[in-house]
Order: sequence, then C-alpha cells, then structure tokens
Amino acid sequence: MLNKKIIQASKATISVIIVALLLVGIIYLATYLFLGQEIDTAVLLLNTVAVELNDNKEEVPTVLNEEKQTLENYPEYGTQYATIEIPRIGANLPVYFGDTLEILKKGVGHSSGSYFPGEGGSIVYMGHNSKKVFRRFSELQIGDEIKVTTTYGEFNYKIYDMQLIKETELEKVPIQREEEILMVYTCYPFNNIGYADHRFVVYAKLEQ
Amino acid sequence: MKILINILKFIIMLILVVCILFFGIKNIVLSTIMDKDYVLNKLEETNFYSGTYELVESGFENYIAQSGLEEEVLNNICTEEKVKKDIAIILNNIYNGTNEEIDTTEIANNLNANIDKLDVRTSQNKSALDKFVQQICTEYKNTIINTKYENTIHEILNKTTNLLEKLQTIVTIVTIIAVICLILLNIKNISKLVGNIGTVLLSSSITILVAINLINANINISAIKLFNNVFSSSIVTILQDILSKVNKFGIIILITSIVVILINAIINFVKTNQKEEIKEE
Repeated sequence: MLNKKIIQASKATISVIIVALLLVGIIYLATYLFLGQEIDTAVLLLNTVAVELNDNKEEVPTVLNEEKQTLENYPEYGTQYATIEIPRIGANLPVYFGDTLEILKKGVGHSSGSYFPGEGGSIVYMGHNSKKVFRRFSELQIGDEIKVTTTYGEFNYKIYDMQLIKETELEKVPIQREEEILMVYTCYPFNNIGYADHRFVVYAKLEQ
Repeated sequence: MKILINILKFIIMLILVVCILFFGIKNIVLSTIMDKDYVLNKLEETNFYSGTYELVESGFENYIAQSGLEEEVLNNICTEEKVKKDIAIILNNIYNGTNEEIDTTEIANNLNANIDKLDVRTSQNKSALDKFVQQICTEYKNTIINTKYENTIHEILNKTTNLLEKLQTIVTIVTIIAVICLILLNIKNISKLVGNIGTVLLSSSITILVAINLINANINISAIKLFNNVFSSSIVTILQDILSKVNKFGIIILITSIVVILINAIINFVKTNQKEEIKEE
C-alpha cells in the first residue's frame, strides 16, 4: 500500500524531471540552430582577448636552426634576448623583443615585424637618443663594428651606410630576407628638445 | 485528444521557460552593465581611478627619453582628480548621451609652464616642443580610453534598453496568457498544474546553470585583456559579477523548483492515498 503511494509520487517526480530535461534540450538545440554562429564568433572574440600570462611557464631556450635559418622557440615579447655592443661609441645595451615606449625605456627595442639575428633578413633595432642609449650616434663611421650577442649565438656586423630619414619614410628600413642587414636607428637631432620627426639610421651587414 | 493537450502543454511550458529566462537576464543586464551607478561602483571597487592615474604618469614618462627634456617637466601636470573627472565625462557621454570633449588644456598649460622653467624653448625647437606637448595630451586621452565611439556606444545602449522595455511588455502579456492557458488545461487536476510549474522552473534553472558552466569552460574570463591592465581588471570584475548574479538566479530557481516538485510528489502521494481509501470503501 505504502509502496504504491511512493511509486506514484516517484513517477510524478521522474516525469517532471524528464520533461524538464527535454525542454532544456529543445532550448539548447534551438539556440544552436538560430544563434550558433553568433555564439561561436562571440566566444572566439572573447578568447582572442583572453591572454593567459605565462608567469609560471618553464622557459624554453631559443635555438637557431642554421639549416632553415629560422629560430625555434622565439623569445617572448618584451623580454631581453640579446645585448648590442658598439665599441666606437662605448655602447653596451640590452636588446628587448618589442618596440613599445615601455620597452625603449629599458634599452634597445627589436621591431617585432623584422627578423632575428641569424635568420638572414632585415633586423630592425631602435633606441632613444638619450645619453644612456644612442646620443653618440654621430660619432659612428662606415666600417665600424656592431656586435650582437644573443641567447643563441654571437653575430658581428660592419656598418656600410648611414642615412637621415623622416619618421614616415618606412621604405628606407625595408624588411627583406635576401641578405642579413642590421638597421639600428635613433631620433634625430641627437640633442633634440621636444618631438623629433627625423631618424638617423645605421645599416650594417653580417660579417661571415 | 490527450496527446494534443499534452503537446499544447509542452509548448506552453517551453514558452514559459523562455519568458523566465528573459525576465531574469533582462533584470540582471539592466541592473549591471546598463546601469551607470553600478559601473561607477565597480570602478571604485577595482581602484580604476588610481590605477589609471598611475598608467597616465608612466605613459608620460615613456616620452621623456626621446624628448631630450628632464623628467621634472612632468611634475604635477596632471592629477588623480582630473583623471576621475574626465572618466566621469566619458561615462556621461556613454550612458547619458552627452557630447562633452576631454579638455587637455590644463595638462598642456602645466607642461608648457614646466618646460619654460627649464628655459630651453627657442625659435628652432618651438614646433618640436609643441608637438611633444600634443603627444603628451594624446597619450593622456588614449590612456583614459577617450575614443570617438562613446556616442555610438550610447546609441547601442539606448537601443538595447528600448528593445528590452518593449520586449518586456510583450513577454509579460505572453506569460500571463501562457499561465492562464496552463491553468485552464489543468483545471481538473491541480497536481498536474503543480507538476508543470515545477517542470518550467527546473528547466529554466538547468538551462541557466548549464549555460554558466559552458561559459566558464569555454572562456577564460579572468584572463581577458582590453586596452590596459587597469581597464581589464575592471571589465573582468564586472563580467564575473554578472555571471555570479546569473548563477545565483539559476540556483534560486533550482531551489524553488525542487520545493514545487516535492509539493507535487506529496500531492500525488496524498491523492493515491485518497484513491485507495475510496477503493477500500
């Protein structure tokens, strides 16, 4: 007698749950059919701006694959991966991957659109014309050496040209991969006050 | 006939679930992201103003090295109060549709006064210094996220609010009709009506809770980065708060649905009891 009552009450409860689940299924199916694409786009968009910081990630060393002339495990953006030495002007500065003003405050920046030393292409470095960085660029001469010591090797370059360009003349710092050319630039005039709209570029070739 | 009535009930329950979801989400949206006071509270809570002020200062410092000027020129050119006031202007533009511009004259004047103290201005570098001052003012506007899209965002918010209000009227009428229909279809059987209400509440809560879990599984909200760290932190806090409010709403309906389903079970238990007693008589 009691069992029958319990079975009846359970039946009613189970039927409520089954119908409820069926309703949920239909709602999700309808949402997927009518808004699936929009939801996927929204998720993709949000995941694009959801950047996981790799603070606890184990550091993987950067290696130069000499055969392919490419790097394996590129340095992380904003990190120091090299030092640049220019004996003529007594410069020995850290090189960071990236070219934001925040990075340039710390040393020399590596334009993220250019190649890395050893990759056989254009390498674009930049630094402020402050005393700590490239104020003495005017003392440089053709034939002067520039040494770049990276975490994966040492590269020596020889200056073969120097040019004064406008900040908008990007074609004067071309990105190519036929020859390894290091282009280092700073703001001009060197002892400028205010906003400088000219750049002094030094072009150096890799010494074999 | 019985099948037809059951299908009709199912459709009405489906409509009611959609209505409950609409009411819940609409209220949460209107009381959070669409509410200026809520946003202001959250900005205060996440130290948005002081964080932005620090960013403004560090952004200015980035221009010092290339300017050839001493860092002292940046002394007191901007205050946290100014940052707070300008953010309030931006929020007014977004939420109230005002069209007020951010005025950087004060910053430019203070910076020019500091440059003049150094006595470095000459006829040769005058335009370079003017450009530097202009760059600093642009940097300020960029850091406080003063964009040309404020009025566009206001229009979107306005349209969304109007749409939600219109929808609310329609959904309210639909809900009333659906409830009346459900009562009429179960007029002879109160336990079925209670069962149907339980079903509607249970599916609403499951839909919400599953959606929250899907969002958490597919989007790493805490890692969202927009414009700068300070803004990102505020956005993440607001999004997490909205999700937690939706989650709370889902749990409340779940608890209510469990109560209603239990009542339904008790009614069925009692009804069976009564039937048995009649049979025995």
